[in-house]
Amino acid sequence: MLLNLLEYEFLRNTFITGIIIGIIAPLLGAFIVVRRLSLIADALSHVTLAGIAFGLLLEKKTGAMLITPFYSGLGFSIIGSVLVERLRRVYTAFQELAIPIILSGGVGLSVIFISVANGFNTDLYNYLFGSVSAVSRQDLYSILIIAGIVCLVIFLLYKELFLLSFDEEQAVVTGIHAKRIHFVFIVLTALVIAASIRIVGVLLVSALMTLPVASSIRIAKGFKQTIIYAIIYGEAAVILGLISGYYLEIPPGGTIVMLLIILLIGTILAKNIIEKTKNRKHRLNNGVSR
Amino acid sequence: MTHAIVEMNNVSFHYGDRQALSKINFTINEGDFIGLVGPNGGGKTTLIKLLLGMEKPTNGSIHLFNKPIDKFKQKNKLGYVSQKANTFNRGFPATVEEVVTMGLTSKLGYFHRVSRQDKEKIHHAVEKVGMENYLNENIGDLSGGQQQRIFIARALVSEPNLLILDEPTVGVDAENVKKFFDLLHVLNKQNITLLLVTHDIGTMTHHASKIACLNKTLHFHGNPNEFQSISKDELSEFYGHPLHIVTHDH
Repeated sequence: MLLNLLEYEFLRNTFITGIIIGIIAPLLGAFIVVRRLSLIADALSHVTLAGIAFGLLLEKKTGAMLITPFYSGLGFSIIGSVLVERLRRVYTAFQELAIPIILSGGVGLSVIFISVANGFNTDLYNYLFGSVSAVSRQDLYSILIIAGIVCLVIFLLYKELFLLSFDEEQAVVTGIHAKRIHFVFIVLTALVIAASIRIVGVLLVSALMTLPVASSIRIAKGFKQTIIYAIIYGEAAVILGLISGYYLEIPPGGTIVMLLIILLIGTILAKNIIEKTKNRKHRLNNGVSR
Repeated sequence: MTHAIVEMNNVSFHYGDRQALSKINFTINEGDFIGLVGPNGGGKTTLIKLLLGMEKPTNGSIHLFNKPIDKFKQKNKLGYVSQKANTFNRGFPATVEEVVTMGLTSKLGYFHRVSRQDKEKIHHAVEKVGMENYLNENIGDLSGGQQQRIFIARALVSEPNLLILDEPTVGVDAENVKKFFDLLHVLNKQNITLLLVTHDIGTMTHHASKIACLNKTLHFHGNPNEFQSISKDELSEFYGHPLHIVTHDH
């Protein structure tokens, strides 16, 4: 693949996209996990699927590329994120209700669009599970812009987002506009999901946001370290997953997520072994001193 | 000369039809150490929410540092240690330093990042509460009393003039409660005004310079000796149920 990388533009695009989403998905994922919103990524990815299906339907019915599925997916994802925030305000006591409502709405719409378009095709399959050959140059530029926006906003609003995640009441007392920051955050999530779908697919995009964080949270001290380790896990899985997916002819969504799960299990086991060894040493030392 | 930093004039507050506070007149002077006591549901937390600007009074006016509360923008002058500080998600991956840094959020404002000078302030606040050896520990790995100190450091880092603490000793063991009050006295001597909300009347009479008793209306606002001279029956009547005061003699 490495040699082919230089030769084929589509592989280069995929690889660069992979490296970018390997950074932004776990970066945002760290905030998503600590705010206990892990499932929101799933809800938004299914809304994105509806948008993609809508784009594919338009393409099929009109024969022209009025709007590419990438952009229709992005548009639906952003609308979905706004609706999630609205619903969370309607059901303040049951905020998680927004997730099944938006998720099922997304799947329902997708089914309708797909049926009207007379069923599946390979394009849709690629959107569901990811593909190593699906990133066009135009997609790559859009993803670069999205990554730029995400990194800049997180850089500028880091302390507000962090405080809001840790202690919402304190954030409000401090004078932070919690609703506005929530809104910005959820739109960022929608952007990252739309950017990541080409590589990992609709069904597995939330895994790329949350699994690296699940691993890093086991070993990190503090939030910044959690983000850094999560990005390292994410990058490792994306790069190895793309290469293995390419050679094994498996959609990269599958290989990336399975690598993330292997890394997660490895981390949990390693942490347990290290802690047990530490405890044993501690007990031995105490025994000797007695 | 002492001057008022908080003035509540004739303040009432309703949650829908239910009246939570009625015609409260309450002044906090610079340097005070006020214990705000009262039964559960008596409006203590509501009063704090009003002072912090989280709720607006239905009637009456509030002045902070001589400014009407809606025109008061220097939020860093108020430090707040919430009751919920005890109930945060203990698995949250945040070091002591990161938690204390949160206290600078309002002072720095949007889009500003933490400078080297700010770092010094953070370290200084952590030293003040005697937790300088734990800067890089995860907050969830500390004991309840230690976490309490970190939340105070977080409130102190923006160099507040008034520190408001809502039920800060709930879930903290006796030894740490003593250390906690020792710390509050040190802070009070450094000219930080304290408003401590608690249901534990016995402890407050030993530590506070003034006691305010709240059950929808503010019934008493004076020094602890006067407060202790109130008969138990009178106090029970105010609380609305028989009262058993645990005294903490030192």
